[in-house]
Amino acid sequence: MILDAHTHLFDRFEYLEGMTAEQMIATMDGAGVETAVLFTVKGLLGGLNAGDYRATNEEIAETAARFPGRFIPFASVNPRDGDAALEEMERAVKDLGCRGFKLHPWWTSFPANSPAALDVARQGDRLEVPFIIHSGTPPTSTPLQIAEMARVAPRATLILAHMGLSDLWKEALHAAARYPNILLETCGTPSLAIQIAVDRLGADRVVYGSDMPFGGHSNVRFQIQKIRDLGLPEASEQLVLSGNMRRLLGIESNTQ
Amino acid sequence: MIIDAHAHIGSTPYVTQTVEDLLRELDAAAVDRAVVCPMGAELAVRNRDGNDRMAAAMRAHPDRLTGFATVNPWWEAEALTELERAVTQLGLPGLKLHPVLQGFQIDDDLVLPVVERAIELGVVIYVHTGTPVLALPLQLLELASRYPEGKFIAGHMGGADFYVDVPLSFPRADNVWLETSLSPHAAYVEEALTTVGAERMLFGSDSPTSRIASELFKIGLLELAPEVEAQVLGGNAHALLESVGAWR
Repeated sequence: MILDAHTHLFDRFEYLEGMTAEQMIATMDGAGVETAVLFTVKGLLGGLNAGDYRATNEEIAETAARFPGRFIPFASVNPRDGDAALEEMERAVKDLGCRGFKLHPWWTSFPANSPAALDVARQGDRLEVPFIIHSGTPPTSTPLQIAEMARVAPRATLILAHMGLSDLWKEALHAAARYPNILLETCGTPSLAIQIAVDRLGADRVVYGSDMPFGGHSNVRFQIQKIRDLGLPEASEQLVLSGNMRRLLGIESNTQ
Repeated sequence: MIIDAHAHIGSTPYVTQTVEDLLRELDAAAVDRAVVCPMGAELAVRNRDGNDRMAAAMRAHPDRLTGFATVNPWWEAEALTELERAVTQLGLPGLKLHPVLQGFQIDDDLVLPVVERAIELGVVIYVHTGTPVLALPLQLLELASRYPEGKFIAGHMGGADFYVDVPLSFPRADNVWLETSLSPHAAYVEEALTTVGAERMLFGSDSPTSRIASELFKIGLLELAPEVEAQVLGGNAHALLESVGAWR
């Protein structure tokens, strides 16, 4: 059964309609997805109308607890908050049971290689939890900027969401080749880039994600089909679609 | 009839696609025709070689392939001569521009003579969009507004992050078509169908960067009304190519 490394919980985001947790589960069931890494949207927004990430971290943890085995809660913080962000990271992992962090340098508005972001990376290193970080969008979220976080946090796995997108996947390949604690996630990534990542770095470095509910109800099926259309050897496809994330998070599949 | 409005033949340091490779992919996905453009060095600098390759592919498979030419605007007067050769002698009915690979900004004055010559020659102009800072949708809109008589295609309909410009601004540009490859999911295509209009949407794959079957699956997920799906998957491309004399 598939594990999706990249989903967001929101009912409405600006003009976009989201999904409830129940709707997400129905979509997952329809596409053969057992478990999804779940994080916020609202808690990633910086600026004057910034979301309260403490509140959204609680919401994510509570949602995951309501549906055992279906969601893996990841928390979010704004690195610009300094010590308060580092304290929230500790609370999110130790008190709320979050298993990692989602950061979005573009939306939250911090360069991924800024001192504040590196402090957050070091805190993740101490807590030994993974990050998934939006990548591919200049000027704050390029793969080689995020690679600086991987450099200072060798015990924390850094997942480059979108593998740098269409424009920066070559950077993502270089970042992952340099730092063994970087994984590459596939939503919004061209097929050729995913194929080359598997060929050059190995299937154990690539993880499937969908970005649900962005892209609507059909998107999960599209993102899975994109992986299947690569025609990878079965063992490699299994690693990408679930094995690598299960190993990272230490979770077994309930069903085969 | 299904027409892939954007595919490539040639080589880059990362991938090679021969005519036979592309025909196999088209067959596997049950796609009838493809518009083919040069790739790699033949797109960036060795344009004459690329254009000859497109013409040869089209001559060998006139029922399957339609070649688009490319010229790098930095060749200046030579670019105009080569474009004229590619259109009048080789019979290529479109011009592909790739601002990032060819090194110019879409709304740079450098490109104006090439665009004007393409319009004089009566060919459609495909422009890669979605990559900051050189290839943004609003830059193409500026260019297209300046030449209302021109026919432009916004490649990848703004891609992932710059798709946001499409529903906001493209409804007012009725001489720009949107090509769907590498748009990250079907929801953007669905939204553009209503905001911009079904008659301006062109299915494309960007093969070999994306997979034809995957890109076709993306459109299929929308479960469009049959007549709308027929427009997007081929009807619009057929009409657009016909309007520039592709079937003569």
